[in-house]
Amino acid sequence: MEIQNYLPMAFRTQINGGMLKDAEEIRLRVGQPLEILYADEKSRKFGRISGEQIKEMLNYLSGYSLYAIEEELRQGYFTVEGGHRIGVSGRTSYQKKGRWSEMNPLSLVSGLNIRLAHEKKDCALPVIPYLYHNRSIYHTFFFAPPGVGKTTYLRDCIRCLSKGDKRKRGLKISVVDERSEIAACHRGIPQNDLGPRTDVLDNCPKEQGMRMLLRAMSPEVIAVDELGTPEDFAAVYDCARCGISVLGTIHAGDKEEVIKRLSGNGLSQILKECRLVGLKRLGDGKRKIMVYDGKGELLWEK
Amino acid sequence: MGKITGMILIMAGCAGTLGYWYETKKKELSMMEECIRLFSHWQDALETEHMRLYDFLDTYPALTEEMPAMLKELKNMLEKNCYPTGRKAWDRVLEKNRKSLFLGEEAKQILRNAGEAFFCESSRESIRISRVCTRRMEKILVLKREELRRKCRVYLPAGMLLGVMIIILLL
Repeated sequence: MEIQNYLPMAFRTQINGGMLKDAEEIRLRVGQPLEILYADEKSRKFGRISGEQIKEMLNYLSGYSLYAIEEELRQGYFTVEGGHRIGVSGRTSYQKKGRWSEMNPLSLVSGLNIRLAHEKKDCALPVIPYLYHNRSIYHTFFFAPPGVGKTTYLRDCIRCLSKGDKRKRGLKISVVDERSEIAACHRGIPQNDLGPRTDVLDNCPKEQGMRMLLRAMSPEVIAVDELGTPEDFAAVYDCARCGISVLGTIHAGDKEEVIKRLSGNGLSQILKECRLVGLKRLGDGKRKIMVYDGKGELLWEK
Repeated sequence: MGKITGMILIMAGCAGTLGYWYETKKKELSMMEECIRLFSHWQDALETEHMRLYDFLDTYPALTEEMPAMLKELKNMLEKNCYPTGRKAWDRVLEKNRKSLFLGEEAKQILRNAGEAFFCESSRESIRISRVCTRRMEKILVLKREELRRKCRVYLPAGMLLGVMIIILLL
């Protein structure tokens, strides 16, 4: 479904598909205009959003099944068909559970941020030659601050590696898509092109999914988005120990931060056979790509 | 000859009217049973699978012909994202299918209220409302069954008596 069909009825006549062509985000805040943000940092504003319209849009986004995204709302975001990520803000509440308190799903949503997923084919192509290592690839981690395009590059990287080329055969890749952002699965079927040798485990926690795929699908590469918790890194360690290469993304500002996080989570061994791919947004909306080895030495940049 | 033809026609008319009435009542009862099935399947779908409404509408194994058609229509309406709340789409579908559902006023009201069970923000609340609707529908179903039995007991001998009287009069 086109993203404009999720917008409140009152805005659908004003916003057409052409306006969203190069858009990166759509932001809705109660009492503020609807704002479309573009890659070149320009923006367009429309009307004024009411609380009712936010509710209306949540109904559309959740397929009139708000209860089904309770767990995601507790984490502050969910994903819709097409892999677009919807971030939510508003009023939260907690309930005591022994010594700990557990967060309830957002009771009053006052803001939505739609991050539009883009399938940019061949954007990762220049990086691919730096990733091959013997018959497989180096452990590779894409790093950048939020919203720069880690997932887009990861997705394309999976596609290129799975497809292979004249010189290199395609690799068997298994993807753990916890939030349906990489493959944008609809009822388990990937909507994005991830190549002919890719298996996707949709809507599954990363650490469990990685271990499941390791046993079940005999992959050569396991790809995951947003590695962050110690459990995620422990699962990466398990994969690496079994000779499986890991392709992942990490939220980080620079290479030192990534190296520190990997070594801090017991992955110092991995750093020896690893590639770090940094992404930076330039003023005109284009991206700068840097490829480093595990020690942080720059191998290539564009 | 004319008397006999008239007699047969009147008898057939009486039997047809009685038959139609009985069939309508039976349809009403089976539709109420279908509603109870729908509510309990919905509870089950929420409790065991946390199923999304679209998926439920697609997979619900209905026993009547009318229910799947109505649920499909509801799904189509919802998928267009034209109704700010699901409740409005539900009311609209019920209004459109008012006649084909064969339900009485009370049962229709319960079905209308069941919209809350389908479009609640929390699954716990959905299950609670769905249970209330099931209980209320079951109560009405028992009453309706009893009423039909009672009416059949009266209408059948009364119809036969009427037929005999008409035959006597015509003879």
